[in-house]
Amino acid sequence: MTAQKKLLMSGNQAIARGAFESGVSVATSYPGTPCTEILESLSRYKSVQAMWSTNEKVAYEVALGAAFAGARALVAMKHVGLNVAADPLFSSVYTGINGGLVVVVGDDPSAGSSQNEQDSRHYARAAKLPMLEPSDSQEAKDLVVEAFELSERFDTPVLLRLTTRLCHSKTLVAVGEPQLDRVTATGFVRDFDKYVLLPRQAILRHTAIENRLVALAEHADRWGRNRIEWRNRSRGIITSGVAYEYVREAFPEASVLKLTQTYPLPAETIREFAERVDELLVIEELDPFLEEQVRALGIRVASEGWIPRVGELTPERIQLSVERKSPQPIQNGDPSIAGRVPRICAGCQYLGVYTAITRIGVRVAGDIGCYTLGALEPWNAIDTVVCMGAGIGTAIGMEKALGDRVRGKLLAIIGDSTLLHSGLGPLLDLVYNQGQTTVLVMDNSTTAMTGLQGNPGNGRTAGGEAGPGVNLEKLIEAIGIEWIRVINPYDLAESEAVLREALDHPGPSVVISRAPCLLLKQKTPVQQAHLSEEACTGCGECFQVGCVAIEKQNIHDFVAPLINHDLCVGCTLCVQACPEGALAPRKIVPDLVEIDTCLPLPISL
Amino acid sequence: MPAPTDLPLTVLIAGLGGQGVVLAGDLLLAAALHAGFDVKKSEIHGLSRRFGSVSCQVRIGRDLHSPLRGHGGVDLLLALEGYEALKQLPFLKPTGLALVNRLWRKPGAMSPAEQTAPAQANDRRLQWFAGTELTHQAESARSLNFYMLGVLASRLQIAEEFWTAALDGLRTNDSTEANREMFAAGMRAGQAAGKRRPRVTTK
Repeated sequence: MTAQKKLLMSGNQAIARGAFESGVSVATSYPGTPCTEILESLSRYKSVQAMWSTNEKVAYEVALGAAFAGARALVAMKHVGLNVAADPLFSSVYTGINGGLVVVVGDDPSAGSSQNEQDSRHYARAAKLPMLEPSDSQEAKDLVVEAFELSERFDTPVLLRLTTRLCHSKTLVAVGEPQLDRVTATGFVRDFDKYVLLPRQAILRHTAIENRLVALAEHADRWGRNRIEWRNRSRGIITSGVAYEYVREAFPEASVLKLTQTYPLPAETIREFAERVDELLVIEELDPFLEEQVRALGIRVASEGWIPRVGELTPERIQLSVERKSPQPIQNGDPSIAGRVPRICAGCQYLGVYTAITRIGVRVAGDIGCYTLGALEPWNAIDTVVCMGAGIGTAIGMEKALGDRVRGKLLAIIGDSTLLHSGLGPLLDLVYNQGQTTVLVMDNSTTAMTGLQGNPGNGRTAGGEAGPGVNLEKLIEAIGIEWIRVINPYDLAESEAVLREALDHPGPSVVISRAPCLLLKQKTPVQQAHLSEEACTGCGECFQVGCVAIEKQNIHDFVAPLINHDLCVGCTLCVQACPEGALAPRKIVPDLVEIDTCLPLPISL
Repeated sequence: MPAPTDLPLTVLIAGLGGQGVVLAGDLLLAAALHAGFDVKKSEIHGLSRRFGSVSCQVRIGRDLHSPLRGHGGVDLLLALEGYEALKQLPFLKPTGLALVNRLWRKPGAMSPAEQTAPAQANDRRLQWFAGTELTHQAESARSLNFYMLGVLASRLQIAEEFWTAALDGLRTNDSTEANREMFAAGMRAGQAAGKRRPRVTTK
């Protein structure tokens, strides 16, 4: 037998590999850090139909339908995406599956790229489905394979819970053979009492679920992956997920109970472990999910109140918290060195839109995407950001509460991908409830922030095929909005004028700011802004554009712009913003050698 | 000053979005793998890449568990910019070593390069390298990450053949002559600047 092939894989890539090996034929997702690369990786396996869905709820339902049809299906999403998909999640635990269904959720401790820091493990308990937590890429790959077996054996979706650290860490993975004979769906078999959740069936199914949970808890006690590692018995630590790796690093001498099925828990194994150690600690990231259940078994947990509940753990943070018997702060960089806020790319359409909005001065209910950065300096343009699709709804609420006090001064901003994800319902509500809010749709023809994924707006599929894409104007018109304008965000005067007109319009209005994301086609700029030092008066209007290519320099006795020509893409927004005519575009004379070798790109991809 | 400790070795690479921090980490990972070590790598993704701070940790050795270390757990810090180096100093062991490119891009301010450095820049664990200046002179400004990786390579006992193998594995658009030259130049600069080496061998 030949040596097993080992590959270096991120947790995300390992999940994709595990799905491929399990014979998954349908995989769905909506992009979101830390899980975006799962579906991106899956789209490269020919036996898998990998699809970006409109949102996580749709993604879940598509995967469930495939499972009903007897295929193995996987759905992946970030933690807040599971909130969107919670409705089908809960009900699918009642229906059960046919082919296996694995639900991958990525939590984001320290909220590195998220609006909250939720612990999605509570979903397993609330929805009553089994949950597995891997500790590294190898286990992530292996657990997907085992999760499908578990799913089909117990007729239930299985939750696989990851965290950012695991998703984005690369470790070696021994890969296995794909079960390609499993790719063909076995077919749907009608079963009224199982798949049709009318009230009477729901009650019957609930009984079945409670019995299933008992059987799953018994399975947890027999399953080798919930394993006790006996070392020194003076201290025993119960842990799971990536925290297991931290514990091994921080307390190499301690005995460890590594929990891999973290719901329902293996009560007998926990009791056995607790009885044989002098001091029992439970170390887990975020909420005391395991700790509370261990204590509910009547077991004393010495570390109660010691482990941090906010922010990501590290081996050193765990060590200190246990040593000092109190939660120690998040281990970030030196706080006396200012952090770097993320910036909108040089020449992005949003620079023009936010410059115009700042000039008008309005309340803005924002949403989630690259344009959320408009909440920061120098625009400070966004007043609320809650969750995907929340902007329009909260604007309606503000308008209803404040009436004339905000009339003509209230704007909801939403991107094209977010509008299609969860903004259409609120837009219908705006029409139905006769609101007057203006909605600004930032259409850059992609899901930009997570890395330029396709969406129903641009029609591009996860596999990269071109599709028709939705016509936003017709869609919005069909919803009942009569006042719709499309602006060129690179024309400052036009953008400002149209936005003012929309705000003054008595009735709901939509402005679509349309320009493709610059990163979609990173071409060499044909022109760049240049400063005439004689004409500059140091008024600072150009800085209000907020472009990263506009740096500062001291000229005469004032601060003048210094155009960074490694970054400038020649959009001319600063040229338009300058009241003195001190900035002007200048054509670039192509230098063949330069163009051939290295082009200055706005950011690296 | 004592040298960083035995295996496992933890390297933290820090810089700005666009400087090629993640690629430098991948090359270190590849070289260490070719040399027969187990490796783990942890990356900071997401919002960080839009002109923000970017960092990754590479752990090399045997019996690796955690993909990252916290405060006081890092043996070697490789920084492509000054403020990013100082920001990451809490992670460096008291006996650790920081190899830093001399470039100041002040966070927050949209300002050009600054010459004034915060007090932390006097930390005795820092060693400075004129990577930005030298790569500009060589008209290979985009190869800065390769230059600084060469500096790092000069302090690790990973044989040259393994670095060559790592560089050979690059995608064609990264596998340029300029990158190889700057890596070699960084290696020479690192060797010339001092003999402090962590005890890392390929056996």
